[in-house]
Amino acid sequence: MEQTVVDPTLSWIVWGLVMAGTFVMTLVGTWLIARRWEK
Amino acid sequence: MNGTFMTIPEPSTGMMVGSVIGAACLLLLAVTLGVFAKKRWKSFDEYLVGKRDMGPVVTGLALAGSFISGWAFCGSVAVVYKVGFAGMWFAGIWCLVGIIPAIWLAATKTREFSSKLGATTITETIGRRFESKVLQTVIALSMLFFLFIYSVGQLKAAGTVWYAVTGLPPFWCLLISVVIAWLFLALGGYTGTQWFIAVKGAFLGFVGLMIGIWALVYAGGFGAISKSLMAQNPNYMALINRSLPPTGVTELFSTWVGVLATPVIFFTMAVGFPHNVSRFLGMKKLSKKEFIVLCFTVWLVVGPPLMLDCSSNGLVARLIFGNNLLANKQWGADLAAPMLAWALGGAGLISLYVTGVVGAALGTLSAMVFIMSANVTRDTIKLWRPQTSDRTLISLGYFLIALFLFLPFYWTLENPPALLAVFMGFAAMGLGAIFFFVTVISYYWRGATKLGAMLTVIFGTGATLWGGWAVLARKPALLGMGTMEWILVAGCAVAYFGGSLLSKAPSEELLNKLFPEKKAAAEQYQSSLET
Repeated sequence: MEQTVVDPTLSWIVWGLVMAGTFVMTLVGTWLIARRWEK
Repeated sequence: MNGTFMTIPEPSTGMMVGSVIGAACLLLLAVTLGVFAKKRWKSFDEYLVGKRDMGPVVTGLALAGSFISGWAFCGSVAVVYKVGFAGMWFAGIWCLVGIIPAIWLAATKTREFSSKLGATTITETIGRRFESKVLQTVIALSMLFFLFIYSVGQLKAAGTVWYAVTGLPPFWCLLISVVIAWLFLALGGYTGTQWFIAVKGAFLGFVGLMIGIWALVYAGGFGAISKSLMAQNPNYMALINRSLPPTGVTELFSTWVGVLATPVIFFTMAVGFPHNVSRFLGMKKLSKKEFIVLCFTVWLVVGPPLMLDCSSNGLVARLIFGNNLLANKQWGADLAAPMLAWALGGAGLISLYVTGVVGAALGTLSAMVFIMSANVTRDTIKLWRPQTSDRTLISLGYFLIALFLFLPFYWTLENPPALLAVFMGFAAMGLGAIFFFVTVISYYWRGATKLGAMLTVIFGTGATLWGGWAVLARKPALLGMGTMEWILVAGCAVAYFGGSLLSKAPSEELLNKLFPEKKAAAEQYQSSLET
């Protein structure tokens, strides 16, 4: 296997951003759609 | 085997008894729900879609249960175990990016369109949306093809886990499961299936969250996982593992083109999967509060539990077992999820996991088989021979359900696919790309036509077959799986929009019925011009 330079901290930061980002995005999106429900 | 790490345990009496009890309870529950649901339908239409009165919690749990398949609970952990951190992109970290937009885009529209058109299946809804019997038949055949391929992997997950825990050949476990599935599908129809998938969804959410958090705590946190994997091979902690070939399946883990394709795959497949969107057919008309409850139910079940299971669990399995699971030549990396459950909580937790994965496989398989059967009875026979009696169609449906359950059962035992996640991933890509446009975009775009939809189905089916050869069968692979996803989605978009722009839309009368708000806006605009 070819070895590459890896920073595990960066990997976990990206992982955390993806997790938190998708949690928040889906909640905010739902709220925005619900706000316009009557229309 | 490497002695530094745990090895595959021999099945113990506790593991076997616990798993058998768990699976027996699950199957008993399935039959019970089927018996109760039998009282809720009296006609073929009600058998196919219920009374359209399901609430947001049941619908949400059923959607989550339909989405959390054997792949999600078994194959995805295997991918991360095998590839490392880079495997997460394909293994399911984008689950919410797919399933929540599926509600936003398809929930109320599926209910509204199917109800207005008097349709009981997604295929029938699309056929009537475009006023085309031929299109409905072509879609039914295409859906049948893709769902059949996809259904095979469901049983492999259950078989793998059963073997891992009991040490027994999966024949009896799979046979009993498909017989039970036939019973509750035949008895309960749509309502019974919806109820069973909903219960299974709630159970999987609970088990998934427990194992996900437990695994991170057991491993000693992110630092401990990093340390162990860096010692095994630094590539296991790389965001993009460039040591893997840039073509074939591994493109999804080794190049930006592949990694960026993964959220698109999850989005189109969650929104486009017929067995997901079908969960909305029997839903009641939602209020604002009920819409929020629906979204939050799915968010709770699919979000934290599944995203943890699909990402960090594979890494923790590697921390515990190293390469030792790969020593099993028959099941290999697919043992990662059940063995992780065993390492964390012994016989008790692995019994819960087995119950969960048997439920996951059975629930998603049932949802697919029910659609496959209706593809033939409602979407083909009833369409072209409307005088066929309900009784005949229901009896034929019973036979087809048995057939479509038996074929994956046989295929799984005789010729198990090499890597569960990959095999199912390709059928999922085709289904998602085609039906994202043909179903969901057609709910919103008045200008869509049957030619556009037909070209999308033909292109998508052909491109998926060609992709199977170019990416999986040809040695060396001609291109990567991520590139193939971009080709599929872009090609389907060109076929759908291009074909629609070049041909005539359905009748004004139908369009005004389906898009009343656009008609009202046009009238308002016209009147403002006149004044």
